[in-house]
Order: sequence, then structure tokens, then C-alpha cells
Amino acid sequence: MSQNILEVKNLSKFFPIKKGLFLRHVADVRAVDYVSFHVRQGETLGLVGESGCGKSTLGRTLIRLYEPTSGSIRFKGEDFLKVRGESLRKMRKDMQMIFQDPYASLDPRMTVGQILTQPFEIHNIMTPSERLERVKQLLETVGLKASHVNRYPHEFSGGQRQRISIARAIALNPSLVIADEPVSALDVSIQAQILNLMKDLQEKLKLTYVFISHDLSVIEHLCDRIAVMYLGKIVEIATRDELFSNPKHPYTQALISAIPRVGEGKKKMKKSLSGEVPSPINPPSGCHFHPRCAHKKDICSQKAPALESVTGNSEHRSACWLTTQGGL
Amino acid sequence: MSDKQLSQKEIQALEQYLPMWKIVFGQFLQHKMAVVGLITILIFVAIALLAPVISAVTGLDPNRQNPLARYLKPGTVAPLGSSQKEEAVLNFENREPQAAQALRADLMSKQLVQSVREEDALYDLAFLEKNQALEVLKKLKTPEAKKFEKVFDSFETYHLLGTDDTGRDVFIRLVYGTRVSLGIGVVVAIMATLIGLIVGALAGFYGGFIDSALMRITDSLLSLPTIPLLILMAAIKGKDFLEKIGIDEQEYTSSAVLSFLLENEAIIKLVFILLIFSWMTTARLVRGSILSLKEREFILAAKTLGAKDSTIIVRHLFPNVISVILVSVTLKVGDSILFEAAMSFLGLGVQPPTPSWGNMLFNAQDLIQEAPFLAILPGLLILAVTLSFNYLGDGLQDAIDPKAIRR
Repeated sequence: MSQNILEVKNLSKFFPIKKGLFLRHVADVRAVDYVSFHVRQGETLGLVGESGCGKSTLGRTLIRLYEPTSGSIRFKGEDFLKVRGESLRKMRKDMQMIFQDPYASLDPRMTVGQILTQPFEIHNIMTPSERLERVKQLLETVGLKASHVNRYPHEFSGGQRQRISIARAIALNPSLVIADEPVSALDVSIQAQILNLMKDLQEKLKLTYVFISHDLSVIEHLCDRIAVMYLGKIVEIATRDELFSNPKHPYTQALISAIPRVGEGKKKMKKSLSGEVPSPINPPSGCHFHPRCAHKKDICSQKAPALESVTGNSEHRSACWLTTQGGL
Repeated sequence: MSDKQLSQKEIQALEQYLPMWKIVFGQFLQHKMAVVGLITILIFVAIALLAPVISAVTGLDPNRQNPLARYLKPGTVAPLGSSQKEEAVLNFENREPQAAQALRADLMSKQLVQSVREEDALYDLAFLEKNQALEVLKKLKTPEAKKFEKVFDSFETYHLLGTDDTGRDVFIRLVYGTRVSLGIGVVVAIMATLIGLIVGALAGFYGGFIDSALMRITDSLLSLPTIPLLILMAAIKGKDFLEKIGIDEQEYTSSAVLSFLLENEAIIKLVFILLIFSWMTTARLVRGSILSLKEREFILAAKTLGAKDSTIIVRHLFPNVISVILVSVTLKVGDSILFEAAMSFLGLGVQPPTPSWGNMLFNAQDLIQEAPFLAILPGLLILAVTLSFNYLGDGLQDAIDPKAIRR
């Protein structure tokens, strides 16, 4: 088994809510709520969940765009949270991010050439002419033309922009790329192109992805393992095939049954969820999912289940009283 | 027409790379009003720089008063007062003592003037009516007499734009006023915008305590009553201030910088005061746009690349607030010229006799009925310059916006 590139333990990110003249701390938005998982070298971990469940916050916390409230992140065996200043800048080379909105993630005042040269300028790598060569090479790697260097982002379509965004992310040869819904702003035919590009790059450059999406079919296409998030917590994590064929958590079951399949009628959507996602400011007691769960028991509203291995499979973990070992 | 197939060459020409400045320049030229504005501004700048030359060529002096020629209409010719005539004759005597000597002797010997003493001969001639005096000189028919005829030409001045309440030529005062008004306007606008940009960028980018501290300073300056403070600050005398901080007269007369500052005290003080009170709106605007910009994903992307704060501010934030800055500079030029005018009116700005459009405008208002031109002319110039700067800013904003680039 390949080694873990990223190990996350009890990571949490709370956004404080301050009120009144003296900015009294009244409550927290518990965007990421004590999450633990690991990512293996060379794999793609999918993070899936509905809007507002904290996937993007988790992604941004992993790369330290947000400072976590608590917990630990070990990146390549090193404690990533202890790194500061210059060494943090150096370490960032190894960990890059692709953003959701290709219209907002490229500076409108810079040409593509300037955007892609920036990584090298920041880390002071290569001479200007070498940089230009490398930029042209990068553009061709992501399926654009080298002659595009002097164009501005607004002269490209959404898909092309996302390619530029990807080129920027791989410019410094990182080992881990966090992709925050990279295709959700694109139309379906373009989505497939971008996903295939990401797959090719992964093979070519030995990349590890953390792929954040709310779209299960995209996740299914690309990911080796999948973590399902609900209200700041990971409720189930398993390999792709296991998760899709044998979902244990009621929330995962509901998600999977909601994927539209060709040839199935409306009547098959029997596991659809009712109700709204509760507020992360004041999450339900016990299991966060219990107010919407069809299999709710007494213990569910009293005690939160831990993310534990499902019987017979150490790779498949689920946080549900129905399935965990020693539950009920 | 359009369904013609483009050849490979033509496609290449279309995709060819143009340097940034060429694109910007091309875009700018398409904005007709901006080009007009730029030309107008350049003309005014040239006038300001060439003011002494204009003065020498026309023989006009912005500070020469002439009680005989007050409130003249534009385009009139006025005779000089007696003291100026004396001055002109004295200049002639100093310039060409031999010619003067010969001329005096001629005049006395032929008894063409009723002078008691020979020294007064030229002066007495000068005070005669112009035609009479010229006849006298013609009778002499000497080369010296020809030379002296020219002196009579300078006894009359042509006032293209009329004269003001003390008989000074309005045209040359407007020319010199350009230096003061345009200079103050541009310097204050640029410096105030720079201060505003830095304060706004720091406050917006770092947030938290720095933001609160800087914004409270901004708010308090905005809430201060401007005029009383201006009066107070204008009352501080440069020399007294230097002595207070322990620099005595010897030191400041020997230091080139300090003596320059003291010589132009009124104007420098005015610039300083205007600066203090004009950067706040820019700071607020810049802060606002940076607050929204810094949450944009391209800023986050730069952070994940490991960019330093300074890199992010200079490379990403500044270029994206440039439209705010351009608007700020161009509006502030007009504001500063008007503010200078108001200050001069209160007697706190540019001190007469130094002309500025502002103090000329306000001097004119007592007699707006009798001499409307005195108010209209500086007013028109202020309008022209302010408008030109606004159009220039407009054009630049369009020219540098990459989204407006038409290839």
C-alpha cells in the first residue's frame, strides 16, 4: 500500500460570529467539525456533500488559506500547521489548488503569460526566457496554444480558463492538488474534457488529488476513494466501488439514490430526503443527520457516532449507529 | 464580404502579439474627447512652463499696475502711467548712454524741449503727447532719435483680455496663474491619491486592528471642520515655526532647501493643507474595492502559490483599483483648483500679487457688473482644465481596461 501524503486529524474550522459594539463572541459557524482522514500518494480522494456542508472550507483549510481552529495536518510526514513564514512559502510549492470559478480565479488585468509566469517569479525560479518557454510548454500540456500567452483571461471560454487555472496549479510541479469544484461552473461536455485532462495529468505528473464536488457522477468518474460530508463532518468514507455498491450511511444512500439514471422512472426515487440542512451554527445534538434520517433511534439524538470501520472492511468507515461495530 | 475565407497569413496577422502600450495607445486615440482633453492639458502645461518667455515677448508684467488703465475692455490699448514712462526712459539711458547723451545735447541745443536742466530733456520729451514727441524726434533725423522712437512704442500696452482693478494685464496674469493653479491642482491630486491608495490598501488588505485604526483616522479627518482649521494652519508663519524647532535665521538662509521653502511659503503651505484634507475619500474608495477584491479567487490563488503580501498588493490589487485611482486623480485636480480658489478668497491661499485663477476669480466678484470678463475668463479656464482632466481620466480608464481591448 502506498504511503499517506496527507494525514488529517480532528481538523476543525469554526468561524466566530461577533455581535454588538464590543464584538462579543456569541457563536461559531462550525464549518469543519473535527474531521479526520488521510490521502494516499497518487490517489484521488473525492469530497462530496451538498452545498454548505463545509467541503470548500475543508479544502481551503487543508492548504492553509484558512487557519484551522484545531487539529493537525501532516503533509508528507511533516506537521504542516507548524510551518511559518519563508518555509511555508517553500512548502506551498508542493500543494496547489484549482478553484471553482474560472471567471474569478484569473486576474483580469494580467495576460495568460503573466499569470503563468507568476509562480516562477514568486519562487525566483529560472530566467525570464526560460520561464516563457516553460509557460508555452504548460499551455500546450493543458491543451491550449502557445500563441495564447499574450491574451487576457476574458478572451477565453470557461473551459479554456479552467485549463489555464490547471496550468497554473501544476506549474510548480506540486505533489498534491486540491481541486475545489473545478467543473461545476462548466457545461457538461466541457466538464468531461476537463476531467479527462486532470486524469491525464495525474498519470503524467504523478499527482495526488483531493477533489471536491457536489456532483456524484463527476466524483464517480474520477475518484479512487470518496468521503461524504454532512454539516461539517465526514459521515462515510470508502473506496469508490464499495461506496457506490454498498453505501452504509443513510445520507450516502439517499445521495446515491438521487443520481438520475437513464431508464429509471420517477418512482424509483424512494430514498429522497426531506427537510432542510440544519444550521451549522447550532447543529442538532448527537448525530447531525438524525432530524432527517428515516432510521432514527433514541441514541441518535443523544450521542454522536464515531467514524468507525464497517464490519468486514477496514477501508470502509461510516459514522452511523446502525452500522458501526458495537453500535446498538 | 464577410464570407471571404481568411488566408493563413491574415489569421496570423490577427493573432499577432501587440505590445501592451501600443494597444493602450490605440484604444486611447479612439476616445476623441480624451484626446482633446489631453491636448488641452498639454497646451496649459506649455503655457505654464513658458510663462516667463511669454512675458518677455509681449513686454507684459503680471504685477505692473496702471491706475490710468483700470477695468479696460478686452482688446484695448492703454497708455502707461508717468512712473512707468520714467522707468522706460531710465532703462534707455542705462542701455545706450552715448545715444542718450547725444540726443539730450541735440534736444537742448535746438531748444525742442522746454527743459531747465539737460538731464531732464529726455523725460520732458517722454511726457509730451505721443504724436507731438514723434514729430520732434523726426525733426532731428539722427540715428539716436530713431532709437528713442522705439521707447515710445513701449509707452502703450495692448491688453488682449483687458485689465483688472489695478490696471494689471489680465492675459499675462492668467498665464502666470496657470503655473500656480495647474501646479497646485496636479501636485495635490497625485499626492493625495497616493496617500489615499496606501492607506486604503493597508486598511483593506490587513483588516482587523490596522483597518480600524486607519479608518478612524480617516473618519476623524473627514469630520473635522475644514475652514476653521485651515485658518489656524495658515496663520502659522514658516519662520516662527523654524525658530520654535530650534533652527535659527543663519541656518535657514544658508540652507538652499529651507530658503526655497520659505520663499514659496504660501504655496507650499497651501499644498500641504490641501493634502491633509483631500486623501480620505480616495482611501475609503480604495479600501472598499480592495475588501471585495481580496476575497476573489485570484488573490487566494496567489496566496497558495506562496506570494508575499507585498506582491499581492502591488501585482494584483493595485492594477485592479486603477480605475478608482484614475477617477480620483482626475476629479481631485478640479477639486484642488477650486479649493485653492476658495482658500485664496479667504486670504489664506496664494497671496496677491502672485496671480492664481482662484484669486483672480474671487477678486472679480465685487465688480461682476462692471467687468464681467474678469470673472468669466478665469472661470472658463478652470472649467476647461477640470473638464479636460475628467475626459482624460475617462479615456485612460477605457484604454487600460483589458476587457475593452478590441483586437
